[in-house]
Amino acid sequence: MSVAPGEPVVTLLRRDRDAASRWSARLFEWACAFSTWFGLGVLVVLLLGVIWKGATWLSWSFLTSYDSRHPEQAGILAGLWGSFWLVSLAALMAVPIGVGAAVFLEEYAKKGWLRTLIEVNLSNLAGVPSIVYGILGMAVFVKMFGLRPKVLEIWLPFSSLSIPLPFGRTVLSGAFTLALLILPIVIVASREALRAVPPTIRHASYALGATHWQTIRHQVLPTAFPGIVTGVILAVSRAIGETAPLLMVGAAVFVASTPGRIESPLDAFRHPKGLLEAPFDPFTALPIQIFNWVSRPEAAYQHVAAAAILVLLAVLQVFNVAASVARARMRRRARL
Amino acid sequence: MTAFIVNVRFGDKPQGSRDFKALFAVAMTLFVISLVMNILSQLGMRRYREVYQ
Repeated sequence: MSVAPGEPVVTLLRRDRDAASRWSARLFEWACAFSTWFGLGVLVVLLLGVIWKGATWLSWSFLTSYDSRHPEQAGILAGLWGSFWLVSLAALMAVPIGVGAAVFLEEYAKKGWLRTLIEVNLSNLAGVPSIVYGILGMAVFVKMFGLRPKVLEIWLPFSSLSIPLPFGRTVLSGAFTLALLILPIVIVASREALRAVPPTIRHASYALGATHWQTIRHQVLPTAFPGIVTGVILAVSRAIGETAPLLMVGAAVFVASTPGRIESPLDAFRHPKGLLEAPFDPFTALPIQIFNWVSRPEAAYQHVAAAAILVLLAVLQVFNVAASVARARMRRRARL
Repeated sequence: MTAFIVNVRFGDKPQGSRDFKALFAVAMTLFVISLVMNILSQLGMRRYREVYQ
C-alpha cells in the first residue's frame, strides 16, 4: 500500500483495518460456499457411484420379477408392493390422526402443564431411534404381549375376512409400526404450518363474524395446507426408507409373493378380495431387499442392490414432485 | 446399541431368553437418552426463544 505524501496517518490506519475486514468477509463467504459445495459434492459422488454400479442392471424385468438366487434374475417386485402397502396404510393411519392432533394442540388446547408434557414427549418421539419403534412394534403388534394365537373371523356382506391375532409378521404390523414412527413427525410439521398462519387472517375472519370452527375450516387450514403437505411428504419419505423397525417386526427377507397376490394394478380388479387380504400377508420392503442384497457375498448382488437403490430414489423423487405440484396448485387457488 | 439389538434379534438367541429380554432394556436406555437430550434442548429453547408479534 502506498502512502500519498500529505495523507494523515489516521486514514491510513483506517484503510488498513478496512482491508482486513474485507478479507475476513471474503474468507467467510468462501467458507460458506465451501460448506454448500461440499455437501453437494458428496451427494454427487454417492449418486454417480450408485448409477455407475446399478444403471445397467435396471430393466423392466427387474421391476416385475421376484428375488432370486441368480443375481441376473433377481427383481424388486415384492419389495415395491410391500413398500407400497406399508407406506399407504401407515400414511392412512398417521395423517388424519396427526393433523387432527396438531389442530387440537394449536387451536383448542389451553396452555398448561399437560400441554407442555405432550409437547416435550412429541419432540422426543420424533427423535427416538427408529429401532426403538421396531421393538415396540414387535412386542405390541407382532406378539401382542404373548397373546395366545387365535383367528378372528369377520363376515362381510360379500366375503369373509380372517384376521390373525396377534397380527404376527404381517403388513399390518409393519404399517402400524411405521404409522407410530411418522405420527410425531406429522404432528410437529403440521403444528409449525399452523403456527405460521398470520394472525391477521384469523382476526379478519373473527371480525367478519366467523366462528372458531369456520375460521379453522375456511382460513387456517387452507393457508396451512402447503406446509402440512410438505410435512406429510417428509414423513412418508422417512417411512419408505426405514429399514431397522421393519427388520424388527420381521419383514421376510425372501418372499415369493406380493401382499394379496396383487402384482399389478390390474390384479386389484381381477380379484378384489386381495385388497382385503393384503394387510394380513407376510411382506418385504424396498430397503429390506437392499439390505439383504448388500449383505450377500456375491459381487453381482452389489449391482442388484445399486439398481434397487435407484428405484427407491426414483420413488422418492416422484413423491417430492407430487408435493411441489400440490403446493403450487394450492397457492394459485389461495391467491384467487 | 442399535447394532446390538439387530444382532440379538437375528442371532440364535431363543425368544424369552435373558438376551432377548435385554433387547427391551437397551431400547429403553436409548429412549431415555433421547428424552434427556430433548428436555435439555427444550430448556435451552425456552431461554433463548424470542416471541414475535
